[in-house]
Amino acid sequence: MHPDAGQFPTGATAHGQYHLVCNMCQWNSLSIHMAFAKPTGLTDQLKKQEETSPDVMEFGRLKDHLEKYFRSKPGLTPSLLSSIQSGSIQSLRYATSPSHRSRTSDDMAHYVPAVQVMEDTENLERLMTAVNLSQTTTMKQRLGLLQRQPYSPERLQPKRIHLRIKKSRRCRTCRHILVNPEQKAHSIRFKINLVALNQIPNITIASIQPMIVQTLSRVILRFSNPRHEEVLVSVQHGDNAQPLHGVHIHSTTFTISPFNEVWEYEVGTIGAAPGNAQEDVFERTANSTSIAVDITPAVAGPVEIPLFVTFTFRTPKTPSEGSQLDVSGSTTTSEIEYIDKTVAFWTIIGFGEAVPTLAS
Amino acid sequence: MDLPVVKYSKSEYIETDTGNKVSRKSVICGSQNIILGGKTILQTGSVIRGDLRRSGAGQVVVVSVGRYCFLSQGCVIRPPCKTFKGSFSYYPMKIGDHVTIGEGSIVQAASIGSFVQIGKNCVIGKFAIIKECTRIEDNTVIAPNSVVPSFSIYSGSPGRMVDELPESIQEIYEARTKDRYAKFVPSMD
Repeated sequence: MHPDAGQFPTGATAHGQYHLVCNMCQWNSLSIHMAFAKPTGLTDQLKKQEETSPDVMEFGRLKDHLEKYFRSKPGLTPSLLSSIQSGSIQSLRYATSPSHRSRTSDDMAHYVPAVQVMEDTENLERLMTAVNLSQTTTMKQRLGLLQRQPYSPERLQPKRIHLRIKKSRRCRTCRHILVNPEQKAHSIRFKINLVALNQIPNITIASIQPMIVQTLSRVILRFSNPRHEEVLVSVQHGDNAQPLHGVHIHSTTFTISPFNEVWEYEVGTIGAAPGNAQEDVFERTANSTSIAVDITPAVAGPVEIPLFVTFTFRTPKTPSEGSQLDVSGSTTTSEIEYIDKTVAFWTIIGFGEAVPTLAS
Repeated sequence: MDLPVVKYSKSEYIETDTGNKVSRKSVICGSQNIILGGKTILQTGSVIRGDLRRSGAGQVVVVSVGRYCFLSQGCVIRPPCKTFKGSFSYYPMKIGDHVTIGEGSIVQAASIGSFVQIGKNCVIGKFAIIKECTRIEDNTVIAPNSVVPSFSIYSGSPGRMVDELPESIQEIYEARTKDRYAKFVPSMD
């Protein structure tokens, strides 16, 4: 029985007590003497039990005892006191070991522990006589229950499921918030969601031929433009990558028409966009341009080609932060200054496994 | 990788007014209890058990599927059942929008949120709750009654969280399901 498998809905017993029941394996938390007074706030109810466990109480007593002593001795370093407060076992051992005490302290009262930890003979015997691994717990299970670390599977407790957290993200350089989720736990919306998907060209493989070693195969890469401005893209092959596949990019510099919602419904090739009819590209559709790339794999195995993509777009210059897209359509268009922005990034595109040639 | 254009024979699929494309070779039991949101594709051999309904008279919705969903070949959608207070009953299942269910997967979840991708040969246990924006890898078994939180990738048997999904996953899945529907076209002959 894995305590963390499945959910544990609470079921009421006849005595007004609640316990956990697994719907699948019918495991019942009463078998480990775990019962609850009310069906809510299970964590707090369990915590109360943990606080009264002997080792926690003993630690509290020992801390009180030592603190009293350290407070009365102002000469002692505060770092030692804080290390005891933070529960550092090392310093506790030092303070309680007889040899050390005789050296450092002269008027410290002898601490009498309220709980005597016995030799764990019962556990030892059980482990000595165990014949298979199901009679003991795994290291992972013990580390999951740090307070008790039981060796017998019957004493394992159900584990709490860690809740997932929502994270907001900032830019590493300008500290601008890029992603900010909504506060509500069940909502998947974002107050701010500036993802690269909406900013940089999206590269997909439009068609591919099987990769065979030392054989030229042509792939078509489609670059789609998510921006509302035309972008100029140049693609370079990272030529010192290993293994060295033969790569020939047919058109290294090309433009992509701007994204337009109306075009989303349009299929097929648009005739050459104004001003770039002479460009040698494979295909040009609404907001995407396809280029041909010839690849000659050098060795068998996965073919991954690094590409350095530079793209330049013209954007209205805004003196302060604000929406860049709102300006279009206003009467002051002529006054807006445009600047060219260039962004470059590396990407690695995988083209699948290359198979060895029949001859080899 | 761009999705390929999938041609289907016009005689095999029935297209409804709302754009659902349902294969004649799929098994749909209790069709009066099933709602398809529109632009949903049911491929050959997929099974929806709308006949497994709560006992009692009257019309009930047993399986409701959202828009732009894709039920691949041989997947089984089966409402979950349990015995509660001595009576055995089936409980309704709700599937959100932009949900992909892979080939041969068996789904008995209580609810599946929007923007969910379930791989091939998965088993989704009874009364599992799969939240929005999640991915279940191929051959995963999700335990009954478990909850799969948003923006997580589950894998293995029993299924456990292996990774997180990026914040842009909603747009990616939406674009992909729309693209796939647009590329699922009848062949000319």
